[in-house]
Amino acid sequence: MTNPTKKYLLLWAIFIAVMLLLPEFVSKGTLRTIIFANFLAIFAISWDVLSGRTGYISFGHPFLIGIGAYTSAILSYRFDMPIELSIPLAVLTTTIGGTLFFLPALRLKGSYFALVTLAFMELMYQLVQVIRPDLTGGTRGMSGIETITRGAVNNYYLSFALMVTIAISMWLLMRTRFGSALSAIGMNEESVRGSGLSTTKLKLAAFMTSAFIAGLGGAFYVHYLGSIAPRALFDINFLFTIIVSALIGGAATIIGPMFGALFLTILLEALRPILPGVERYLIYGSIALIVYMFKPQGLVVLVLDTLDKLRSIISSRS
Amino acid sequence: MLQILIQGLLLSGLYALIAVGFTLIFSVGRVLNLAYGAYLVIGGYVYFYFAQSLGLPKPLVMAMAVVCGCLVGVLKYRLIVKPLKGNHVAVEISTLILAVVIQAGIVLLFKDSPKILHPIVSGVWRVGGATITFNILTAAVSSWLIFGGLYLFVRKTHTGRAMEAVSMDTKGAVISGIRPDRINLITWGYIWRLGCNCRGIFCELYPAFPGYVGCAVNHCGCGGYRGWYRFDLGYLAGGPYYWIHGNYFNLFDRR
Repeated sequence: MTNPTKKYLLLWAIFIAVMLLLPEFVSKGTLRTIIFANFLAIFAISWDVLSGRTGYISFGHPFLIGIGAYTSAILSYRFDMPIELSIPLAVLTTTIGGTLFFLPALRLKGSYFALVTLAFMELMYQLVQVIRPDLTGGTRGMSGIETITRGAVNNYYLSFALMVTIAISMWLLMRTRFGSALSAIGMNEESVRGSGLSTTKLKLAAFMTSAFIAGLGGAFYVHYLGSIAPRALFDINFLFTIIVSALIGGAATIIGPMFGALFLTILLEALRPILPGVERYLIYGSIALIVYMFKPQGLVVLVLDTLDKLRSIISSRS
Repeated sequence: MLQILIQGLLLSGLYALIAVGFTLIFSVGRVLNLAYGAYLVIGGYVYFYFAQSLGLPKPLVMAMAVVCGCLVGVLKYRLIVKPLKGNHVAVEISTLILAVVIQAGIVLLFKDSPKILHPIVSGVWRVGGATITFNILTAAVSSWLIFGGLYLFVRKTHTGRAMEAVSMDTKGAVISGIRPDRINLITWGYIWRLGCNCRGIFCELYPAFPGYVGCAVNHCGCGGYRGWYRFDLGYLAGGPYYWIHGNYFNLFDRR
């Protein structure tokens, strides 16, 4: 094992240890905020696998999350299926269904891909209201969905375990040749194709991985909330929060979306006493815009750069 | 049925205008402007605040909406689009963030309840069994006039032809002495004007509502031909107009 790998594993271990001890030191209200941050991190990682790496910006991620959430909710709530079965089925449906829908979109590039994915989110929003409202709950959605566990502490550990498992799996996956190829697509797709690799297959694999995570996150999320409504899922603010978490933290990294999700969730909660409604997004969005304009690589890079500068100042003085 | 058809045909002109504004910036700047819905919303709120709350004359308020739109467009180009020039992904993401910021700003100022806008021109015209409000008729005529004006602007003026040149080949345009930066600035100012105009003449048809920021992003972005989430035969009838104008009468994109 190389030294950098050891260093990263040590950092992961420290991070996990700190997060596991967190319930001992913070209130239940704070824990509930961090649960949302954990789910947001899962969605942001899912978005980042496809869009952050390959540069194919997806505006339709709530579509995938929605498939996972609605499938699991319908199976468990309407058909009394146990959660242990409804969640894997929801993940499978998201991966297969999402891939079938998005397959034609993978032939498109740049803004055209983004537009098509945006259309999918809108399509899903309309479909769940119109098609079989007796199953989906129509515009009002569903409530009283079975939860996996109760209490802030239990839900915190569950969401954290899920998030950290996904994060470490993706970290390991992105260190393989597959991960390098995805990053290469983001830099220059023609060169990757020229080197003999099938970019379509690579993008498809990236999309399936992304859909898998989105489905998993969506299914767990709905069983945490115990309710689901189309307006809450297929909303521009929800999409915005996912994308901004990944970008503010640092796209094409694993720690970036996690850091971004935590930062933005805490910021949003901190603003709640001053601006309780949607108005919060004015400050929240402005901060996101400023950070993105001045440091597009994200906050993680900003922190690392600052640490490097401090280190060089200290070493030059000594 | 006649009512639905007439209304659909009249409204389609307005939708065509909205779609053209969206495709204009996409053709010239190659940028997916996700804050486009915000233009419509700002136009609506300018009209609501100055014409209805303060009682200023409607023609003056329409002019104010245009000036306000131009200013916001120019500021947006200078502060956001230009610094991120060359990185289309960054520009698109920043327009998405800006859309959310504008939406939140409007909620902060005007609250999130829809505002009912009074018609610019009141009165009704009956044709057969159908009733057409003068407001919709004015909206349709105005949109076609603006659309015609835009067409003439692009075809007959030096700036319009320069916009066309930039949309076809930016490097080629630079060689011919055109400054793409200036053309982009004009286009950003122009589409904000279009957007605000559209919302201004949209009065009565739909209330001013901050949520339209997101609606319009979907609506224009997808080139769909529905009316603001409403789907009925009228919009189906008017749909082809909108779709054709939004996609095939795209003034520049010849590919």
